Amino acid sequence: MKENEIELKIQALVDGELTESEAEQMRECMDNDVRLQILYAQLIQTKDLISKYEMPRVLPESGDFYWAKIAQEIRTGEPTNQGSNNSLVIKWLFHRLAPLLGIATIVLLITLQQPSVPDLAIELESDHELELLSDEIDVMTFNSVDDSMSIVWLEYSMDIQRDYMELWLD
Amino acid sequence: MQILSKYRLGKFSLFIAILLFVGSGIASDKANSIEIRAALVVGASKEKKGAKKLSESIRKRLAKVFKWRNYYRLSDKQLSIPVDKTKTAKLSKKASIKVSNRKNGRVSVSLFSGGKELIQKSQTLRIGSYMVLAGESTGDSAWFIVISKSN
Repeated sequence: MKENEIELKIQALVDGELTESEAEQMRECMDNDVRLQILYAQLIQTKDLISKYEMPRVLPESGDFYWAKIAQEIRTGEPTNQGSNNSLVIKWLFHRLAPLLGIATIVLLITLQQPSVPDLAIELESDHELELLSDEIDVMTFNSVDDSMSIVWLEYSMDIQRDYMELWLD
Repeated sequence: MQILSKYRLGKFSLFIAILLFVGSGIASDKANSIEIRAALVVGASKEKKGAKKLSESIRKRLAKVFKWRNYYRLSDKQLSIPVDKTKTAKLSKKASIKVSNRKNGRVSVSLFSGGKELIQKSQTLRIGSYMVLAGESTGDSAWFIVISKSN
């Protein structure tokens, strides 16, 4: 056994960390070696000194309180994880929706910039009312340029040949 | 009679009062009446000699809008319509109109063909403006019903 290992074994013996057989073996070694006996005595003495004169460290809070704090930290950590999950969802949505939002904004801007009613300098009289009583007839309404004549053109052929005949015979 | 004698009113005064009352009612009704002129017109590309020509002002207006250059009057009706009343005018064998005098100079015209109502047009008709209902007829011609207000 190397000298360093022997010293470590003696240290372990002082700390009570060796098995009974190992402790017996180490005691036999020390009986034959004065240097080891001195080392053992020094270590025992140091241990006594430390145990007697070590400044006691008193915790400001009890152990239970520490555990309670740790448990609280764990609990508060959980919502943080949920929050991070939410932020991930928001990021994902942002990545997906950002192009769509951009297109929608552009379309909205174009729509807003266009005049709602094209200005063709046509003034329509608002009091005109037309009621079509037959679905088979197509109707077109318009006013003359000077607005003195309002015209309703019906896709309806009226036979006035007989009236013609009377007209020509008059 | 006792009341008349009490207020010194003779029979003649009472007669005058009644006359004025009735007269004012008639005058008021006349004032609210409108004079509508409705003409059935045919538009043709070919000139027809001897036919009744349309007034030059209406002809010019129609010729500005439509392709036909010749316009002839087939029939012409004058209607005096009190307010909130409707009058009918037969313009041809098939075509007739029903004109209603709405309030505030608003006129409503319904067009009938063979007893069937085709359309109803309502608008404020000013003096000097025209409401025209039109459509194609046989051959290269068209029919026009020109409605105007004269008062």
